[in-house]
Amino acid sequence: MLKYAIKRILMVPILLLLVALFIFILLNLSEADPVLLMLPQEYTQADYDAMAAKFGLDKPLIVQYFNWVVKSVQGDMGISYKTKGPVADDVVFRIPISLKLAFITTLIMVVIGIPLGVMCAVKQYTAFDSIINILAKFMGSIPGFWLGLMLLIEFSINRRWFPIYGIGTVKHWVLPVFTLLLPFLANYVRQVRSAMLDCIRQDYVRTARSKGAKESRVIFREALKNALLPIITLTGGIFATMIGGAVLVEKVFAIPGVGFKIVEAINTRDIPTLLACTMILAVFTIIVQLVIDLSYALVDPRIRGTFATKKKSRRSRIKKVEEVR
Amino acid sequence: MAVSADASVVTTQKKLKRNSQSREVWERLKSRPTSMIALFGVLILIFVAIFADLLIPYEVAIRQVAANKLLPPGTPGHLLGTDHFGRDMLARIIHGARTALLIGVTSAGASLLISTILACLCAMFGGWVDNIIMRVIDVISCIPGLVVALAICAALGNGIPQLIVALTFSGLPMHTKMVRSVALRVSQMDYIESAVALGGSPGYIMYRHLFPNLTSIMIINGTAQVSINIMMGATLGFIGLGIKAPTPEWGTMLAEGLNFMLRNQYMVLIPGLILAISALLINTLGDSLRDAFDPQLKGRA
Amino acid sequence: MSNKILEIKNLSVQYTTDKIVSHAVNNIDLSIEKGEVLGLVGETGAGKTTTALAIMGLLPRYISTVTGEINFKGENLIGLNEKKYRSIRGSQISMIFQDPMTSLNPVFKVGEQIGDVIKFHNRKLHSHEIADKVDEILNLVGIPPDRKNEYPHQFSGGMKQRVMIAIAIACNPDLLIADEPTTALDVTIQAQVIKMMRALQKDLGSSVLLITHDLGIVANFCDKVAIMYAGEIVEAGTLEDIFDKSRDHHPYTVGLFGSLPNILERTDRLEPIKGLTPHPSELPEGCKFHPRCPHCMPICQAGDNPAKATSGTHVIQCHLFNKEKSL
Repeated sequence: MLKYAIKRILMVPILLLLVALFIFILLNLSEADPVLLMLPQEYTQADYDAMAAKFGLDKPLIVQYFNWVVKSVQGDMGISYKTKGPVADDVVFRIPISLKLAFITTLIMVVIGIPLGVMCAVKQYTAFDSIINILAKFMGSIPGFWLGLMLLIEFSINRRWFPIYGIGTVKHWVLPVFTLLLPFLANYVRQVRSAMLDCIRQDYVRTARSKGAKESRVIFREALKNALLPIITLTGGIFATMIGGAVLVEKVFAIPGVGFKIVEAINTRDIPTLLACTMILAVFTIIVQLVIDLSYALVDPRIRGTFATKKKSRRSRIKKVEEVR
Repeated sequence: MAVSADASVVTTQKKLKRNSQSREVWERLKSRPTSMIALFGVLILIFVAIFADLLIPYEVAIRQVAANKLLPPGTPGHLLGTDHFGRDMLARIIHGARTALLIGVTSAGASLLISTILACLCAMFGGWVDNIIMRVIDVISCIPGLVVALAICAALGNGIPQLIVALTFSGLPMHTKMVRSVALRVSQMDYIESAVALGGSPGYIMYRHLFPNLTSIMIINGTAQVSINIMMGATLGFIGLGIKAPTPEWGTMLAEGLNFMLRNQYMVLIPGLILAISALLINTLGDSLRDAFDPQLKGRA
Repeated sequence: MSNKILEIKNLSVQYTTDKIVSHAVNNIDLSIEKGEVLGLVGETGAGKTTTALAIMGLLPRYISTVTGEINFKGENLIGLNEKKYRSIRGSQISMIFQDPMTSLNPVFKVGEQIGDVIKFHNRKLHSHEIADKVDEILNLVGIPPDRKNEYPHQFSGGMKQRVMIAIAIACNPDLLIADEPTTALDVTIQAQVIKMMRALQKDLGSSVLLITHDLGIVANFCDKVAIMYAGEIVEAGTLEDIFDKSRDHHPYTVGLFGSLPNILERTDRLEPIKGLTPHPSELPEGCKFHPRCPHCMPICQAGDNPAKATSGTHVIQCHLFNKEKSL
């Protein structure tokens, strides 16, 4: 178990290097020359060379990549093409804002979603289940950014209940959190329900009932603990998606998070900033994934067991078949 | 001679079986009214997209008439009103459906095809092939799909082909993982093992045994992906990426409407509503297909 | 009457799914006396497990309808309120399920799962008292008590079934229902488990309802036998009544024995029963067995079920014997 955890943690930097390489190549596919974007209309070849040298753009791509990696490790994420200032200064303060949005939303989603999903599973075939299901289907089909706009028009512009943009007070967070929450919650309830249904139908639930356990205990202890595994994966995945997926919500409600900056960086072709923001999202995704994988073992004793024994590969089994022949 | 006769018997039997399976799926689909409504709605959507030019000429969707700026819905001649350039909203919505479906269907189809091939390679060969493909997929899936699409769009520039590439790519990791898990399960079935033991080549096994077992998950996932991609295409359009200016596209229309939100809220309301309804129809159809293909899974999300 | 632990009268169970009604159990009568072992024999789909779940009150709620009487120690269990039923389940009636692989919860320790049933029915016990009791029961079923902190996946199939048995006998139930307890196990393990169950039954003095399709187990373990076909009990009696070939038998019972190999007589070919068990949603008219019956007569093909012909402890539901015995 410990060995597995260490192995997983050691993989993180390698994964990050590869992610960075991927983004680096992707962003440099662009035909637009960033040097030209930064120069004024009238420029000389000397101006061009100076600008290219200043940003390290005169070197081959792979050298640029290594330079970027070495500097990033030291906390220097490069210089923004747009603001001409260090990218780190413009990006780091945004991380807590995006995290806060994603965290609050995930928390509300879990608090509402798990009981609702469990209730749906327990009350399968009843009107309650059908209504929640239909509602979830509707909510899941509404484009998040459009919902945000509609809420903004109705509650901020027409009714003036909430401020239009900014992050100052609790009131500022209500609409963005709600907008981000709804589509995810719809999906979440349906997934929790199906995970629960899977477990409720299992034989061990019947065994628990045959022992004379209370129904509440059967559902919340015997079944839910088994359903937790898929639910943990789901929750973690959604949390990771939210950090990045809040791009649109942040844009609509003008929340100065990482996602907001991504849109801005794309529109201005500010590659260093875009690179930095994407890397931040990747770091969080990887960390969340790591936490999910490790928490698996805490919930499921069978997985603790499989780490000890190596899985038999298909190939070895085929070999065995051939030997039998 | 006898061998070929046997073979033809086998193929006709197989055909019969396949027919009866698709018929069974159709019967189950037919038995639920919601499924039929969704199917009907999606067919209308496809019809509108294909015959957009017959319904309203494309020219109407891009013709700018200064005198007709920002007319409300219900104006004679402009059922859904006009936008800030005096363009007819109905025409733009209809031709936007064509754009949306074109983008959604091609990108979902392409990413499904590529990911299925990758997944089958993983399942069939295992070992280092599986390892390399899955590690690359792992790397890509560290970045949220929307951000991948954003970055590709930013790199490749605006235009429908570029958008399709971006959406195809962003859907790859999830699909490959899902199809691979099914393919792995299938490839561990005894009949595949016996085919291997009987000396079937990997290509033959893939075509004969693996693909037929993947069709249902491909159809189900494909339908869901079309709706996701239409939504994501609109999202990119909303940000200002993807589609070039005069082309009617729902997301771009929404973004344009944003500037005139205080004067004409319909410019934001209508495209979004159409987008939501389309997504709902396609999602419902996807769910119905899943239930119809596998009644055992009925009711699961 | 006084000694009857369980008396089932006219029990019927119907499932309704997607508007299709399945008649899983139809008007059956059963009774088990104190300390007795009743074998309920029949093919898959004959309604044996449904009968067991009906006794336990564990049939799926929304889709099943139960009618008739299930008298347990003189009290009708049908319509009993849930709280009271819960106090009976696990303590007075308990059940061993068919598949030990899936019947234990994978995320809880084995000892915990045994301890739970004791805790549910003895609220006042201290945790160390429960732990002692768990050790004692594990010893009883032949599992070293120090394995109680392991999880089900660390146990083999036979050991898992021992755990299931431990759970079932933990509260000294009056009635133990064993639903094909050995079907999922290897043949050698089957013998061990059956032997152990027999010894435990003798020691504890519980009554047992043993559901099986294995006539060998029945011969070894049971005092009384009931043969079930298509939701009905077609023949019932003592072990001797059923296994004595010289007596009259329902054609289905004859068929069942005919499909067994016999080492004493030389037979070239086993004689299986023709055809398949009808689906409970499409039961035939008249006697449910008539489409497969070698002695089928016109009277069998229509009308109600044949009347029951009784001789002492032996009951047969068939027109063949009605004519002769009704005199």
